[in-house]
Amino acid sequence: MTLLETRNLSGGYRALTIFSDVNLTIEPNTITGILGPNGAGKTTLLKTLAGLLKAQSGTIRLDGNDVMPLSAHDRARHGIALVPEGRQIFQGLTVKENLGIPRSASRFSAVEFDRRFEEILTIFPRLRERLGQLGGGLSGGEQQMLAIGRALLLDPKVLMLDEPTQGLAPIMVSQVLSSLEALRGRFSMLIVEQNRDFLDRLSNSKFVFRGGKLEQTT
Amino acid sequence: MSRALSIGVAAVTAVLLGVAWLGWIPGVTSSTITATALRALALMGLNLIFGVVGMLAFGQAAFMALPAYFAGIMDRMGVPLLIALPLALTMVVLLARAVAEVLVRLPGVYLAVGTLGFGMVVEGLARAFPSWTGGASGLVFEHGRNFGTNVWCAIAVVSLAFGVGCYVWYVRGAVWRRLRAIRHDELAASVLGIDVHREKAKIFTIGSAYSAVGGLLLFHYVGVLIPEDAGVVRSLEQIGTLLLGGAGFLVGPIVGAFLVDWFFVISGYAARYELVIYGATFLLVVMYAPQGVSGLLLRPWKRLAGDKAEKAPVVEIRHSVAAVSSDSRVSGRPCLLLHNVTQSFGGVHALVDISLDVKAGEVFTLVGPNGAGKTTLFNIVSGVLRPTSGRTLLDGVDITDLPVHRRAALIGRSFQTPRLVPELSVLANVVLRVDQLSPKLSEQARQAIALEQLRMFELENLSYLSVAEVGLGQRKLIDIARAAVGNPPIVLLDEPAVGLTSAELMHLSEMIRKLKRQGCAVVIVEHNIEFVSNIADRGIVLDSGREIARGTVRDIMAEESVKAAYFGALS
Amino acid sequence: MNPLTQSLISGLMSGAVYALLAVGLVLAFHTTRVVNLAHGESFAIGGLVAATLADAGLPAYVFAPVAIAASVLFLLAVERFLLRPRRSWPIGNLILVTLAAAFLTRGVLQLAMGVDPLSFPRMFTGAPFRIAGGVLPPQGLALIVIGVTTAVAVTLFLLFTPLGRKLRAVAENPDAAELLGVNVDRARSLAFGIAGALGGLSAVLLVPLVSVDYQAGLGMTLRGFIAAALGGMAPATVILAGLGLGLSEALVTNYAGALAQDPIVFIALIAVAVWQSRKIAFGGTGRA
Repeated sequence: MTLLETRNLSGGYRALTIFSDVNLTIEPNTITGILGPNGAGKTTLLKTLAGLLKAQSGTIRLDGNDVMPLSAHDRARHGIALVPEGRQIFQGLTVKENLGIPRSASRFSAVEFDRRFEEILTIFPRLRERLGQLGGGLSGGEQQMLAIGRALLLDPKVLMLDEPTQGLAPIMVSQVLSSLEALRGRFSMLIVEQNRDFLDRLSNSKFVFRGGKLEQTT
Repeated sequence: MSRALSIGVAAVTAVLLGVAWLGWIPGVTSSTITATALRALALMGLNLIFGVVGMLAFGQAAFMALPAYFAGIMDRMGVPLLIALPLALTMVVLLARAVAEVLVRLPGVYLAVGTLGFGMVVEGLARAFPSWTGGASGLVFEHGRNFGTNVWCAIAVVSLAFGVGCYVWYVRGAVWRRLRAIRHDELAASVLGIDVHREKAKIFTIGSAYSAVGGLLLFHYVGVLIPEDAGVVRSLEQIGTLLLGGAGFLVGPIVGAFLVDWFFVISGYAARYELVIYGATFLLVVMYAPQGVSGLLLRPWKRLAGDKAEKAPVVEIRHSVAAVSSDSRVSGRPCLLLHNVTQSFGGVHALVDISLDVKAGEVFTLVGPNGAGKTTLFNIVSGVLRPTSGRTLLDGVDITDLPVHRRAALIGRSFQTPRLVPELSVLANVVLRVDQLSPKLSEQARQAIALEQLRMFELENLSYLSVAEVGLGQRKLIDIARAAVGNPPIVLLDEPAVGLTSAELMHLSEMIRKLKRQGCAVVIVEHNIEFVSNIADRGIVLDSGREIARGTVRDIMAEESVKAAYFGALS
Repeated sequence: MNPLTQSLISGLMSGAVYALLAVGLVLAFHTTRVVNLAHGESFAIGGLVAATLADAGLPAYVFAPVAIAASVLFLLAVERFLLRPRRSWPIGNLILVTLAAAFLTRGVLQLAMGVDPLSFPRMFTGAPFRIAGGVLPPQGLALIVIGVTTAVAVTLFLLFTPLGRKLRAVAENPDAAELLGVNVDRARSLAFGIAGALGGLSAVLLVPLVSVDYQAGLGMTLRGFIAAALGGMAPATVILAGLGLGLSEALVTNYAGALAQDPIVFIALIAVAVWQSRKIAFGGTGRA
């Protein structure tokens, strides 16, 4: 059964339409990649799926249920997680506090949450070393790990990543790549990237965003 | 505001005044007209400060009461009226200038609370020194009784007309554009060369002078001044009245003052409900009709008149706005030099020891991931930031300590998201830059220069559209054309290619080549590598504020470390 | 009687009130980015409601909670009905909205409660304490102790509880918090609710020692804001700033007379604002 499905989805800011008629189908436990230049509408699409922006028309279904009426925080509770562009970690909160934010919205039970918390620190050992540090003091790569770890604690059905390699040193890019590869098959991922190599390594299916339209590619 | 509209408004106002004076409007007598006209005159000051420029000045009533207090106190000391009045006004204007000097430098909310506090202080002092100010029972003015009601009415109407005349004469053309630019975006305004602090201080002073004249006459007419008249509540009532009439409109203060006064006249001085009525009106207008009554009335009128910028007759350009003599335009001559520039924000290094030399007639690119320090570098060159250490030289002159607006003539800068003033036409946005570069030219000549600039970059077909009607990509091109007005020695372009269609990208390349041919040094921050490789000559690559490579674009793109950091090559 | 000790005592009392007001103002400011100029109205409402109920013969354990509840409801309404629907508005316009709300509230209070200053009996009675030549009534001691404790408690709540952590996350980056399942609207309601409770509490504690009338609100907003600005808009330092402001006001009154209080506090505000804005760029208005 299809996990996430959009039909004729259009979105943008107020009167400005950035993308239109996007039909995207995401099957469970797959990795979908979207390529495209800056300004093509990739970020706008992800924000619309996550509920930060209101769709202008069309539908979004998760497990066959319409999620359009849900606000962003409700979609997060139902398993749509977005790791936003630029990481957006809370700089004034410690690493531990950052990871604790999704606790009450998580689909995990309280006991399960604590177990997964440990697991995240195993996947990203650098975070364990820096648990008490402020988020603002982390390097770009560590911030990306924190942002991904934080979203994983929601227990997502689909994890959306907006340019996860942007601004990262190459060594960090390969670390992010291998940790995402390790998570393959647990849930679905939707990754937006300009880095084609990165997507080639990960994705089952790939799309290109051109002029606000989505096209399948190989 | 167009000339025809001003004349129309003046005519309607005159007719209304006549009708009111004849007593044909219920409840309105010549004494209502006098008080309303004087209140409107004072409100015009608040309209300039708050309505036009958008400064949150919450203490204007103090500037109405102060001159009256000064004059009244001098009168008691035996100073003749003809000396006391101008002296009181001068003192208040000087005081306003001093207050402005401090307050306009502060962020908006401090201005709001600072002016609120100023009003409280004046009210407190008026209460505290009853032997001078009459205390709570008020200061009485005897001289007003020497004039009859009709004389007062004439004085009030003539003063108001004079105030309106001064306003119409002053707030137009370049001044109007400048004030709208400041209101909309102070940073963009200062990068265009506007001295934002000076302009705001000037407007605060002029506006307070309006309040002072209006207040001085009003309290002499009414005959008594109590401490509350200087206080916070009066100031807030004024804001409410202005918002009701329409903040930012020439007629806003007049409409507001008239509606409020008239309402309280026909409702039989509903004094008990005064505060709650003011408050409710204030809240409703702020939330549901931010343009006020004038906005509602003028909207259909504007639609009829076609709200387009007036076309200026094209005059031949004999004036040059070139900022520097042409001999520095020899391609290859060093233009921008950065010596060991370091910038840190509270211990975090945004840039570490960066040196640059950009030559005239060259396209130079700054490459690097987000957060690498590219925008910080632009802010240092354009003067928005002062570097923690290091020097900036332009054409051999050290500009490190020059404030933004003083170096703006030499540096054109476009923004990642174009920062045009939305309520002005495309042409007026470009004229805004010409205003700063050639303030001595006539309005016509400045418009012609702006038009020529748009024509040179093949954007003239957009000239008379309002910015809101123009697409995002085209706005970016207009922003760049504006930055290049006057052929400055250096132009900084912040991610010019982002969000452009392929046709607009070609247009952009053509614009940059033109600048290059004119001997401009063009510095570009851009993520679109394909675009940069085609257009740029040299560049440097930044990562976390440090230089990791420099050289010709071909060389730096070939370098392994750059490939790795930028293209995310997975070794 | 030692006038210096006495003024220090009264400075601590008003300082505790300023600290409570400033902490509430800062909470609301961080979660919504709006300096709520209607904040002080929660003080006026709390004080007037308490005075009216006390006058009707109700005991303190009834009128105090009801008064605080009224203050909470007021600020909740400001957030829910005035600010929330206008989230996308420029901050300047939102500040105007709160100012208009303050103004209307003042008008409504004048109609409903009249213009006379009201007060109500002290909840903490007994013989005043005499300390180093100063007199401290039990109500005053309660004001200082409860006020400072509550302000500190709210700060600790923000720093060390999951809910406080969420509030800080919303304050720093509402979108990111929303993406992690935090209901930002509810967090903002919570912040305004706490702010209202602090405003109401400060009224219930302070008013029996002085009095309150319909126009007390804006002055309280102003002082709360000055303390908040002095403390750099951070909850912990704001408490110290509030106490410092109260003490310096009292000292100014002691040495220079009550008349000098307003101008000197005003000048202090301007000095602090100038000092804080020195970091701002020397031509523009901040980072691009």
